[in-house]
Amino acid sequence: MPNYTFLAFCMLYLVFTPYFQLALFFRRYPKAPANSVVDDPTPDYMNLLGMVFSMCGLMLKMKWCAWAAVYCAFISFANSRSSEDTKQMLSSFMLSISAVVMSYLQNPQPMSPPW
Amino acid sequence: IIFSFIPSLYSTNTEDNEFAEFEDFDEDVEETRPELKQQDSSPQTEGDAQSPKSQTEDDTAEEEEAIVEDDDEFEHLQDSDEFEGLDQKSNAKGKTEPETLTITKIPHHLRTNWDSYYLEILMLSGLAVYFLNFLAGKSKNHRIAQSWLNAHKKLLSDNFAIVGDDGQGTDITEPGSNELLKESENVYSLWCTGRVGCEGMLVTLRLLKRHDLVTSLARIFKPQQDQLTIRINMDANEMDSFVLLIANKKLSTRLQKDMNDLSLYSTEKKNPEKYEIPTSFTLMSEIGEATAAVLDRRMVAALNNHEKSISYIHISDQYSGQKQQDDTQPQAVVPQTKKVLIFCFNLDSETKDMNEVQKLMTVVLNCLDKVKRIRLSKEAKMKADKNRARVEEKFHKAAHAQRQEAAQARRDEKRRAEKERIMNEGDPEKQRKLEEKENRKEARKRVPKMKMMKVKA
Repeated sequence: MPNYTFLAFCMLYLVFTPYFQLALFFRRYPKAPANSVVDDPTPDYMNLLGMVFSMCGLMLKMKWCAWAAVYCAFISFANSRSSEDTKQMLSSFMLSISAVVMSYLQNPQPMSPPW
Repeated sequence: IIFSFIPSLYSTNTEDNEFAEFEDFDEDVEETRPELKQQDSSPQTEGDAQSPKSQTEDDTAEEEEAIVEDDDEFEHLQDSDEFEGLDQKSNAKGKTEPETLTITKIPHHLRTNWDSYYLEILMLSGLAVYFLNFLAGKSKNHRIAQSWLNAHKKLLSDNFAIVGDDGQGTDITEPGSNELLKESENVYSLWCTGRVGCEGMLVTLRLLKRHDLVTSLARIFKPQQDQLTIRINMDANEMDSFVLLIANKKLSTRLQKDMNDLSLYSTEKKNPEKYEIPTSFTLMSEIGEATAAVLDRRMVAALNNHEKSISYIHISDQYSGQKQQDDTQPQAVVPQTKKVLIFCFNLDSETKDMNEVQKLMTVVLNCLDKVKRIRLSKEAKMKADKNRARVEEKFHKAAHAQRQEAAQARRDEKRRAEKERIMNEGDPEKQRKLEEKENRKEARKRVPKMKMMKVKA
């Protein structure tokens, strides 16, 4: 006689274990819970601003723009969400640091403030 | 005049006196001159060859005369009147010249003078300060979150089978990680599940941005507090249908505007004193009976004791999140609703003891059990169902209106295309036939439909 009875006994045992009962009420962690709507837009704005400033620093050779780009990259790194990928962060850092280096290579004079 | 004649007479008999040798000199000069003169007169006869010689003699003669003239020519230079304006100009130029002297810009050598790079040093120090503040703020936030978790771990594990599920694990029945999930430097979340009648509870710790210097400075002008938001998703059949909001005054208007369900259902504003809760709260409720049931003795005591920490309590069976931003189109699609209990507390993170915060958690759990037990009476149930039917009706009307607009637009488009085809028709004969057909069709539409009835006499 194949051990159907043994299998049925196991199924019955499983159904009545406390964990199984509670399992009826388990729900996995909702990946995008409703409160993600109140998301923080700062890292994205700072990232965009950083890109614009480093472009200005590189193209128009304005040193204070390059320094502002470094600050924006720093602020967007500080406010970044852990779910965000680090590639975006790395690229904005590299761009802003290269803007500073390039603008000092072209003319090593000290920076003249924008005012 | 007599004297002037004497020398001329005297000069004729000069051969005998002592200066004879000088006279020879004068005579040589005169002798050369007469030769010159004789040559002048004779060249015509001897031809050109000699002419250059005679020319040089002419030049020398002219030079002598030129010299004579030069002397006259520069006489005016001595005259001081000529130079009246010149002296001031030259002096003036002399005075201003040093002022306009501009030092040409030559690039400094890098290592020569560091102090001219004061702005760069300022920038670097700013970055260093930002980074140090980042590290300090990050660790402080972590400490606060950890202390909250340690204070609540036991209470939560008693009430929930799984505490701290991050959704990654394959098998749900294993116990949770008991750890906070770090969403960002200042937001930590914890998902607890496995409790009868309740789908799950999401706890979100939204702390201040201590790690970001910019927002820390902004906080000086606009003070904020750490926030703890607890959202409990109820099972479908575990909660009766009513909507209730208890919030402090400033927040309630914003919530009322933002939240879908609050703007649709809970229109009645109740007087907080009637339920003995502090007047700093506003009370918006849909079904009075349910409100009375929720605000039992324990809840009223909690509201009075923790008046400062409680930001708002939102209990609703029609929760569908925030309103859409663009209100140009009335919402036509019935939003997906859930039964939720949302509690938002302000944490005073300066106080080290977490006892008060623990009490808040017990309030939440008591309220959860209370809501499960609430069963509306028949009238209240009818009133609630009527409200829901009214709202559903509103949505269907909006959807119907949108469908009609779309159909009308399609009809107009078809008619415009038809007219365009008629206009483009080359052959006038065919054009006239098409127009007649169009007119007949429109006429038939305008005539009301009538049925011919034969009356048998």
